Amino acid sequence: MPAPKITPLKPRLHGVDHTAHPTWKLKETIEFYRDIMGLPLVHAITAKGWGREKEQHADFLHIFFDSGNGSNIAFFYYIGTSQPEALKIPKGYMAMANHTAWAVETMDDLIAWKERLRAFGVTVSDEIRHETIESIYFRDPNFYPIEITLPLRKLDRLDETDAALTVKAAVELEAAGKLDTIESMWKRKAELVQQRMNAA
Amino acid sequence: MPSLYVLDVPEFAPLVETARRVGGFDVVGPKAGYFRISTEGQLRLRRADTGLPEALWFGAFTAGYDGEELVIDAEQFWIGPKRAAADAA
Repeated sequence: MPAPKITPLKPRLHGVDHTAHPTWKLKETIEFYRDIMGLPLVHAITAKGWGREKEQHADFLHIFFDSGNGSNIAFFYYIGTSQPEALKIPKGYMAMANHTAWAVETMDDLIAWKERLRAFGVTVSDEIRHETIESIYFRDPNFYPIEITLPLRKLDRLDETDAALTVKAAVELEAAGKLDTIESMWKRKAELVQQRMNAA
Repeated sequence: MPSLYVLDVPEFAPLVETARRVGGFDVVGPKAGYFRISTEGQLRLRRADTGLPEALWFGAFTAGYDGEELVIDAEQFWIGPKRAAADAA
């Protein structure tokens, strides 16, 4: 029997450790995530600013809440600073693309969250049905967009292979400077789909 | 012959069911995880016939199409034959 080929171990990632955001609203942020969203407060770091001679790094607090599945969500509070214009979250769908979505397990829970948030005076959308999820949308005290979502089905092998075709078509067109409309992408995607059907 | 490809997933099943129910379409599949809905002339599906909400309707064409778009909006998906060389058989 031939000796097995020894290949180097690839480094692997093991999920999200934490996400982090700046805040200039300490009390509101803590009350929102700890009391309204019900996330346990698990860690706090406080430090004198150091390094960054040119920028003069501010003294800061770094507050961590448990965001589930072994991860935390953290907020930096930079003492004695005010929020730069560039870090203020604009209105509009493009800025909403930057968000965290929290999972629930039942439709009853999704509706219960909508009602709870509204009871606390948070403006929340009604449920919106998407491809594989149904979600409600709102903002935290920092105007960060938040979603609470109910997965309607698990993703499977077909979603993965279809995503690979989408990415192939889109990247090809982008590299050629031809990704100008979704229709141009859909037409290229169809060619790849037909090839797969032919090969089946 | 204009064709619309549909991924074989539950959320887009109404598109395939509608094509079958409305008639006048050739529906092939599922093959390799896709359906192909085609017809001679122009291919036109109305969202109202599918019962799909806008979010699902506008995402339902993700597997692509072969043809030239005439109208793709909240009411209908309407394509005609490719304008250039004749379609491959």
